[in-house]
Amino acid sequence: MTKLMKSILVVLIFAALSVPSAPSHAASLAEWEEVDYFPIGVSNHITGTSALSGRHRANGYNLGLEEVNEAGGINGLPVKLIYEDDQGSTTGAVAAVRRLLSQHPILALQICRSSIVNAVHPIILEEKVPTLFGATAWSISELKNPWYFRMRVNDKDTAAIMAKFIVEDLKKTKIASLHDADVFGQGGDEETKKYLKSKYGITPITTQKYTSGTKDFTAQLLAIKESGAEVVYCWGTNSEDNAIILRQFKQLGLQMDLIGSAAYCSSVTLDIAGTHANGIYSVYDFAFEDDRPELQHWVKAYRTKYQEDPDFWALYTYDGTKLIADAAKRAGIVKKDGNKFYIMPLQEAREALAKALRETKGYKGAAGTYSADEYQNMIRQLAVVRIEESKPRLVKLVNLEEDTN
Amino acid sequence: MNEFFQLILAGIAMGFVYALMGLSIALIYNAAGTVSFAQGALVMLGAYVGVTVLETFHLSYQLALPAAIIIMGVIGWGYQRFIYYPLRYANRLMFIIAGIGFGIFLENIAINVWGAAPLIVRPMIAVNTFKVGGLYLEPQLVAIVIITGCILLLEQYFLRCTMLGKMTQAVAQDKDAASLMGINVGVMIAITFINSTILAGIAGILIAPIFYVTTGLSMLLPKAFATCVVGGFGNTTGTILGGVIIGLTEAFGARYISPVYRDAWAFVFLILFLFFRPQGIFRERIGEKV
Repeated sequence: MTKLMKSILVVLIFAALSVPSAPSHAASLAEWEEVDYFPIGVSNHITGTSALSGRHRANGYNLGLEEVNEAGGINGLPVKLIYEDDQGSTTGAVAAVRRLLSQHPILALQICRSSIVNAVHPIILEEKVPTLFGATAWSISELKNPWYFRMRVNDKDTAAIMAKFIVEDLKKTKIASLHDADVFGQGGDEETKKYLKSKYGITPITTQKYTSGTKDFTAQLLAIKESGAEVVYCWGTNSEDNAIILRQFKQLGLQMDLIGSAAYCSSVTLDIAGTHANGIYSVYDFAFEDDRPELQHWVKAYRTKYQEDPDFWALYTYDGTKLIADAAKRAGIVKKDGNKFYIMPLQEAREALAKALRETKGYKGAAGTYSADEYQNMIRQLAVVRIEESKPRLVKLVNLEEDTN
Repeated sequence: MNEFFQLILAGIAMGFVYALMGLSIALIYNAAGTVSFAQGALVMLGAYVGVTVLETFHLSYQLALPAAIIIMGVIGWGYQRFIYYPLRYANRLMFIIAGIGFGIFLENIAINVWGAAPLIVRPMIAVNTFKVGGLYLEPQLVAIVIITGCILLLEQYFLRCTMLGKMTQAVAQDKDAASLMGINVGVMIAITFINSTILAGIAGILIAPIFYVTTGLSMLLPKAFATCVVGGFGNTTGTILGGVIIGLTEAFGARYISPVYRDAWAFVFLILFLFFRPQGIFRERIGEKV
């Protein structure tokens, strides 16, 4: 090799070493934004008549946040939850979400309740922000909003579990229905009926409805009693309604099984219904007896921090905050340079985060294993519980992949 | 047949609750010539006061009821002194708006003081539901009917047979004439507000064990208005009858027409009354007053 050739080779090697193989960190960071925290927006019921469920949700969000930040945040960047009060109403939620998105560089949102998720759907489509929620109405899946990620089992699946339990486990075929006339109750009832009809050829012998806030259910319960039903399934979210139903159910001498949606087993319903809740079944998000380490860790951490038993409201919210952090790490939207942190340009970061959430597969949370399906429903695990001495006792854990087909 | 009578019992029990609330509205309407929209919130507050004296201070019902009555009386005086009195010469609408605002204020106070969780109160009678001839009787509902009946009779006695009651009636009928007769109109109106607030509070305490205690109790207000209109504003007998009619309409409408429109049946009935007998069952035409 000539001297000239050697010199050229040396120059080429130096040149090759000095040119990065990928876009340089410094060059990327020039477009990225320096930040002090990773902002997640939360629209929650802080005031108003639903403030109690809002408090439980906030407990879940905050516990998740605490654990994420204790574990080093997202590549060292702390996560911050920015709350806005939606007052439990759709109009309040629309205003809260607009405030969050206009005043902060929100990377992900967490919201709740089917009616609210429906109401803010156009805003989320327009703003293109990954949004996690615990609302369960199946109709939300039909919106096909690519930015929506459901953190609880949808009502279609819950209804299937309920119907299957009634027919195959309780072995009852004379069935009555009692439900709230709102989106949740109506949707749950319709899905239960569809599954009963398609799978077993059964139609409920009576369907009774009510509006939330009703104080006397004598008419509905007497109609169910007169129908000769052996079992009644109930869909309702309001704890006072559920507690009054359970009290009058016993007082009017209805001698049949009752299986209710998750709120029938919430700590508030059990507190106010007292012994009237004993003996009923509920399809619930979790069971304390489930010995998965993630669930047991959550139960213990919650009891230690809040000195009370956790509710399902605190479960998906806890998992939601942690799942966003996990997805953000996988998406690589946060980088550290020296002591400074940088986030991708906002819209790019949101898209990368949504992609990572869509690609979630086998993430182990407290509620179960999260994997996104075609409708971006993330979770497939439920428990059937029976209330004994005012406490939920596990009857069976249900894996929806295996049990609803 | 049992179902029919069970519905009658349920309707009567709810009707008596509406009647008690309705009377508290009618008293203020008579005395001040305007409608108090805070009565629903005062029922709610009565329930929360009941929770406090019964469950926090662990008083028996015999002691808790007088204590709650005193507390509600003081609140009633405050309502009159700080909200009605400054607006007494203003347009009636001003007091209506102030009443709505006072109600919202009380609801928010309740959430902040007692929290958003529904609270439970031990029942007045610690007896389980019992069965009489195929009918299931809930002791608390029976107690509501009996106690409300007694209170309404006492109210009737107070208004018709005592000097104080007659003076408040005189103020209700004609303030100027009552004033010329030497009656202190301001004091009589204050007494009426106290009386009315106590009635709302008692209604709250009575329903607390069966409806649970939440701010949602204030939503009973529209039914109480319906009761007043059907019965004839200000007439005690009419108010009881109006309450029972509304209660029965709800119960039978929900059972035999549609349970979803349970609340609507009462108001359909109210509209029919306004069309065909706007003065109510026992009163002169109220069209011009409303």
